[in-house]
Amino acid sequence: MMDGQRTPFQAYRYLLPALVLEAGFVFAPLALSLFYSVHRVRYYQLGDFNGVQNYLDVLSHRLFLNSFLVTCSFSLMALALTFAVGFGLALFLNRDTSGSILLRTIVLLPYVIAMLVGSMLLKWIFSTDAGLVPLAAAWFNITSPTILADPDYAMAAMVANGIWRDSAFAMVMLLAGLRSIPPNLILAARIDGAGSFMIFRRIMLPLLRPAILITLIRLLLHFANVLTFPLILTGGGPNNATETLALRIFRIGFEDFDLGKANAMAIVLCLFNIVAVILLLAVFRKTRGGQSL
Amino acid sequence: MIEGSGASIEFRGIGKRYGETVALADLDLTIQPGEFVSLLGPSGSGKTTTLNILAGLISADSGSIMIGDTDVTYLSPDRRGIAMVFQNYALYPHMTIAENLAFPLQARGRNLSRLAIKAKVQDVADTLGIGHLLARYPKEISGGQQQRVALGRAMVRDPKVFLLDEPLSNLDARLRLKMRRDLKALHQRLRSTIVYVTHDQSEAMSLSDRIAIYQGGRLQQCGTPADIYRRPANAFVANFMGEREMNNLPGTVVQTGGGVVFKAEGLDLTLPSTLSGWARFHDRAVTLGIRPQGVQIGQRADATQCEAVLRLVEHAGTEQFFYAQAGGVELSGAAAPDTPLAIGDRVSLTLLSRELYLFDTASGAALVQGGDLAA
Ligand SMILES: Nc1ncnc2c1ncn2[C@@H]1O[C@H](COP(=O)(O)OP(=O)(O)O)[C@@H](O)[C@H]1O
Ligand SMILES: [Mg+2]
Repeated sequence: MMDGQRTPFQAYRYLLPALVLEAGFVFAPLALSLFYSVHRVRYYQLGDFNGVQNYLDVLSHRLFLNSFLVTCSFSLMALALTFAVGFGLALFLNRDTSGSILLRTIVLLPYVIAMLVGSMLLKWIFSTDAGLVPLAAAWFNITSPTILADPDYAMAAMVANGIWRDSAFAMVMLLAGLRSIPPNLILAARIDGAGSFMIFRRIMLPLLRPAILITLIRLLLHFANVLTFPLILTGGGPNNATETLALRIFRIGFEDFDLGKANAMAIVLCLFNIVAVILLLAVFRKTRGGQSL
Repeated sequence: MIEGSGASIEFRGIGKRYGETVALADLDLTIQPGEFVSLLGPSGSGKTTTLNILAGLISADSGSIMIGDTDVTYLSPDRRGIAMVFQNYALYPHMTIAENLAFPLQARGRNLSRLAIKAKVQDVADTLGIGHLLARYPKEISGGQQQRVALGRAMVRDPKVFLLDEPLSNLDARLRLKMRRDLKALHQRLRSTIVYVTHDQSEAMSLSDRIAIYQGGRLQQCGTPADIYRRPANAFVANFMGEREMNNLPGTVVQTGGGVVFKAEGLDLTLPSTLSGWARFHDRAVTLGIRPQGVQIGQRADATQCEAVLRLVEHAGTEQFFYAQAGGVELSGAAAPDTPLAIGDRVSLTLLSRELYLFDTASGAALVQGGDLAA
C-alpha cells in the first residue's frame, strides 16, 4: 500500500478465507474430538465428563499395543516399498515418448479408482476360491497359502494394496520433481565427465530432496491413518494381525459405539502422526551430508 | 595462426534437422588451434546447434567432426576434451562454489587426491578473482561472479577447447564490457581454442580472431572481423555487422549521357567517374547499400550527391545520427556532434564512394563495392 496505512485488520482480511477453512475443517473437528474424548459418549449420547478415563481405557486395552505395532510395521514397509517403486517408475517414465505417456496413464489407474473399489478388487484377486493369485500359483504347481487367512501373508497383501495404489502418487510427485531439474545441469555434468550414477547421486538426488521429503511425508500420513485397506481387504484379521490404529478407532466408535473412547484413540493417533513426521524429518536431516572437499 | 595448447576443430558437412526445420545446413568450418572464433547470428540461426553438436550433446544427421586428429563424431561429451560454459551458467545450486569447481575434477580424475583437487580449485579461483567466494552457494553471489565460476568450472580441467554459449548475455552492459576484456586476456594466457556463440556483433568483433556468421542454419561467411565488416559476402552480413543497419536502396544501374546513374524510387544518384565500371550491372535488379557513417552532410568533389530534408535527429554521444528524406527513399547518416541540425532543414548529402556496396537484390550476394580499387 502506498499510504502506509496497513493495519493488522487489513492483513487478516486476506488471511480470512484460509482461516475460515482451517477453522471449519481442522480446528473445529479437533476441538470436538478433544471434547468428546474426555466425556462418556455411548450410542451418540453425550454423558458425564470423565477426565482421562477414556485415554487410560484405550491405552491399557489388550489390543492397543498390537494395533500400534501393526500400524508401525505396515506404515514402514508400505512407505519404503511404495516410495521405491514410485521412484523407480518416475525415473523410468521420465521421458516423453508415447510409450512412457501411455504407461504413466496405466500406472495412474489404481490411484484414480475409488480406494474402496480397489481394495475389493484386490480382495477378490487374493481370495482362495476364485482368486487370480492362487490360480496363477496353481499354474506353476505351487500350492498357494490361503493368503488372507495367514497373518504374515495378510500383512503382505495389505502392503501390496498400498504399493499397488499409491506408488502412482509417489511417481507423480517425483516426476514433477525430476521435471523441475534444469536440463542444462545434467548436460553440464555430462560434459564435466560425470557418469550416470554420479549424476544421479550428486546432481539429481540432492535437487530432488524437497520432492522426496514431501512425497515421504504425504505417504507416511496416508499409510499411518489408512482405514480402507484393513477394513475392506483383510477385515483386520486374521486374529487382529492387520488391525491398525485406524481400524481400532472405527471398531470402538462404530461397532462398540463408544465414541468417547474412539475420540480418545483418535487423539492418540493424531499425536502418533506428529511424532512420526518429526522422526521422519530428523532422519531426513541426517542424510544431507555435504559433499565437502 | 599462433600455435597454442588448443586443439584444431573441423566440421565436415554437418547437417541437422528438426522435422521440417533445418537447424543446420551442410556446415563446413575449420578452426585453428588456439583460435578464438565467434559464431554470430540472429536468434534461431543455428549457433547453439553447432555448439551442441561439437560438444556431443546432440548428434548430427550427417557429416563428421574432428577435434585435433581425432574423429569425435560418435564420441560422448566427456571424451572430447572440451569444456562448456552455458548461457545461464548451469552452476549446481546445491553445491558451494568450491564444490562446483571441484566437480569436473572429481568426475574425471578419480586418481586425484583431495589435496590436489583443493589446490587446483584454489588456483583457478584465484586466477578469476573468486578465491574469497569458495564457501558460498551460487545464489549468494552476483551474476558476474556466477559467470566467473562457470568459466572456472570449465578451466579447471585444462581443456583443449572451450565452448561458450552467449556467456555474457545475462550481464548488464558495463559488466559485459569488463568481462569481454577479461575473456580476451584469459584467452591470451591460456591459448586454448575458444568457440564463442553470440548474437552481439560488437562482442564478436572485439573478441574474435575470426567470426563465422550464420543465418537460417547456414554459414554465410567466415573471416576476420575487419574482413567481414569491410567485405561482406552478402547483404545479410553487411546489415548484421555494424551498430546500425545499412541504408538499402533497391533500384537499377543505367548508363546515361551524363554518366552512370543509380535509379532508386524517386531518386537518381549520379555515380562518380571512379565507379563508372558499375554500368556492367545494368541488366538486373540491384540494391545499393551504404552504412550511416558513409552518408555525410555537405558537398564533396567526385562523390555521389543528393538533396534531402531532415526528418529526425538522434544524439548518440560521440556523434549524431539523422534520418533524411531524399526523393522516395529515407537515408540515415551520421554527423559530428556539434553540427547544427534541425528537423525540416534542407541539406546536401554526400555518399562516400568507399562506403558504397552493390548487392544482387534477388540473391543478396555482394556484386561490387566502392572500396574495391579494382572497381
Ligand atoms: N530441440 C529442438 N527441437 C526443435 N527445433 C529446434 C530444437 N533446437 C533447435 N531447434 C530449431 O533449430 C533452429 C536453430 O536453433 P539454435 O541452434 O538454438 O539457434 P541459435 O542458437 O542460433 O539461436 C531454430 O529454428 C530452432 O527453433
Ligand atoms: Mg542459442
